Amino acid sequence: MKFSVKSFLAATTVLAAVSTPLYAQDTKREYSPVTDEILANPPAEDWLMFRGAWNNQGFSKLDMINKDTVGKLELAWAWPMAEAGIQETAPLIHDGIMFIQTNNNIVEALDAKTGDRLWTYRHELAQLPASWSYQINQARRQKNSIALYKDKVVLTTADAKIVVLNALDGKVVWEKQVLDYNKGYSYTVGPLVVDNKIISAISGCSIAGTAGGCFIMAHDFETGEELWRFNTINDPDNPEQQASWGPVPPENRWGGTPWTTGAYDPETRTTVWGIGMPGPYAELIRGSEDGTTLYTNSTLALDIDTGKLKWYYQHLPRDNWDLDSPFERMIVEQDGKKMVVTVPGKNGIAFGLDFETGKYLWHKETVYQNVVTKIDPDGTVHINEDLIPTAVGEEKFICSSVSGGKLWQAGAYSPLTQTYYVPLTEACNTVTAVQTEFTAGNAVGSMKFGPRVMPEGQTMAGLVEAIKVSPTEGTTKWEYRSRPTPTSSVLATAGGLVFGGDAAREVKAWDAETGEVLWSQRLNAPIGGYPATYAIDGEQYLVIPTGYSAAASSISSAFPEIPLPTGSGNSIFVFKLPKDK
Amino acid sequence: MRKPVLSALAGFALAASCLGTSWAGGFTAEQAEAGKSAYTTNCGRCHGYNLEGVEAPGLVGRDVMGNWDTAGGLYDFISVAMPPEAPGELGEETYLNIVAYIMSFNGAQPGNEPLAVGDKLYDISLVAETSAGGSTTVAQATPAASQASSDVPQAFTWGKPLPGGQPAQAEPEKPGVPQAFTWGKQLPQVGQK
Repeated sequence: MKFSVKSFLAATTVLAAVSTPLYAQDTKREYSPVTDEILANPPAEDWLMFRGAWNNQGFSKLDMINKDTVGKLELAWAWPMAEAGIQETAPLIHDGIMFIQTNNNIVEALDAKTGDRLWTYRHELAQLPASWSYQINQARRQKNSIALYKDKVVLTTADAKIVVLNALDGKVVWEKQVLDYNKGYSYTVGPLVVDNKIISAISGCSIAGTAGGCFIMAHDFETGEELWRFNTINDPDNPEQQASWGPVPPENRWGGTPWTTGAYDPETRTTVWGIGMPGPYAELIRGSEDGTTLYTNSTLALDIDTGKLKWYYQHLPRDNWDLDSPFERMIVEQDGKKMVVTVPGKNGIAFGLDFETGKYLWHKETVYQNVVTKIDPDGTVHINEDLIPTAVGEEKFICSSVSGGKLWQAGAYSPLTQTYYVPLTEACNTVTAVQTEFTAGNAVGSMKFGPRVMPEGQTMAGLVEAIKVSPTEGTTKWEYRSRPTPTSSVLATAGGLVFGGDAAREVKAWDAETGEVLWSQRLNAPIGGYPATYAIDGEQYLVIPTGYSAAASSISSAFPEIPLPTGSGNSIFVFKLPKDK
Repeated sequence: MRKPVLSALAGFALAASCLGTSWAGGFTAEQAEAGKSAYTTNCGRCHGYNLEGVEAPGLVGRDVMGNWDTAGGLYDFISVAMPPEAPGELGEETYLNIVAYIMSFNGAQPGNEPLAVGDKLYDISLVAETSAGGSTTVAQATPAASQASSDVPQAFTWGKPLPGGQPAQAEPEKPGVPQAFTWGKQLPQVGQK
């Protein structure tokens, strides 16, 4: 069903708008509701979710831009983002409208064909005391997406609110304060919305005030009522989880942040999320002795109706180095077998898990790492105990670094090549446990990190690795190594291409089969966010975010010949093929 | 050359004011002044002109000081990795000046002895040097809405004596912010195993 903005506005008049968008017009535009049916089988011309589909694969069925045509791409339009900050935007496209979120929870709707702005929503963020520097910095960080559902946009905010906007005019329909930002809670990942449930995960769980609770939650899409919550660091239903923190009671546990929006399987009504590291980072300070600190660095499978845990698998037990494992979990089906495929953590190790049970299937190392020594056939992960800090002030050299290895930049899976394309960084750093008194609004890491350096003998910090996936193994299909590091997520397409970009401001298209670079374009700033693609009026478009990159800044000493810009430059660039002459 | 860090236990230093003896910051007022200029032109855009953190992390506060541990810890990092557009290229003097400015902004008091590269850099505890004035600076910048620090959860061990080099101290006042489970316990220290 399509309906005009007039009837749409009439229907929602009774719901008082809390705030007025800066601009709202374009009364002729039509917008069809994004239903569960559409989300289950998204049309190729749209990009409706943060990774394109519930399976989080980051794959587009569009093939007009392909190996033969990609060299002809030209700029269609560009747009400066509304705010500086780390560029991690994930553009969404539906019915010719592009929705982008940027730092400080600003959402803009643009005409996806022309680049004209339709509306802007600027969230009024609570002011925080200046001494809460970690929380303030985190609040300004952009982490992936917003969600489209029915005729609404669902936004999660840095002051721990859910805000639901009208898609056509950006007006607030309702907002809810979910958790207390005064404790440190904030949203930095966007929600998954399915079957009238807003499934989200809170961040800020390494900030002192949040002790004891980090949550994946579900709220009713219409009313905001909380339906369930799952605590990632305190599960009273699982004695093994409790024991895994040693003597540390819940009120002295931190971390377990689910940093990346989960995947969803409609057949089993299961959502799969990745979980971050424990805090404080070193067990010496944490007090957890040799405990594995569940469910940190794990994959969790939850029932979307009850929030109950179906299974978990821990990728890095007993983390002592802030090598968290919260990154994208993809659901991949091959020959009727469903798997979770992921490079979950900063150490860059790829995993295949059985989707139904969470049972370990395989793993594959990518970048150099020294923290995992062995993974048994039953999936038990062994760590290098020589690298565990045993005294305050003792320095250990750890690979990968706290900045990865792998970081938030998501890989993409192509069902056509059955290959997972992963952006990675070769890096190490020293870690030193310190003992600090925790203060409000600040993190509990208690660790001094040295500068990021490359592993001995390595001169190429950047790696895009193509991992051929099967139910029994992951193997290298190709590797693309470079001096600058990949700084954007990756997009795979039915055109046989993989798109992504680096700290050197180059967006590239690789041949998905061979890794050959078929197209590249230098832009204004490091490539960032989540490249996406869509089609309007029979033409395929490619949107590339650029801007300030913490991933580039943290390792820029590895490629000093490529100076980073000193301005943030946060922008999006939209490319398309020239019209047939 | 890096040497093992003789870490002043942050909390003890703070809680027991009798430990507040310092050697006047270990930097000069001239260094901090020059560092302000260097910081403003090289660091402020990302880290904030009030060190509050914008794209890059904030550089104010007791726990920030605690995590860098010593002037040497901070110097070792920034002199290799910062600023991202010219990592390690500002020169030793400028990096030292920037360290002096960050310490000064956090409340450390200048003295007669200049900050210099060498072993002594790792003896300058950022927490100890900045604790008195730092809290003042932060308090001045803190809106009334500030949550009292006494409400913040602390680790399980906060306030407990931990194994390590510190001789038995008066029991620190129990802080309100949650602390690590090991806080207050004497933890093993490097060189004292």
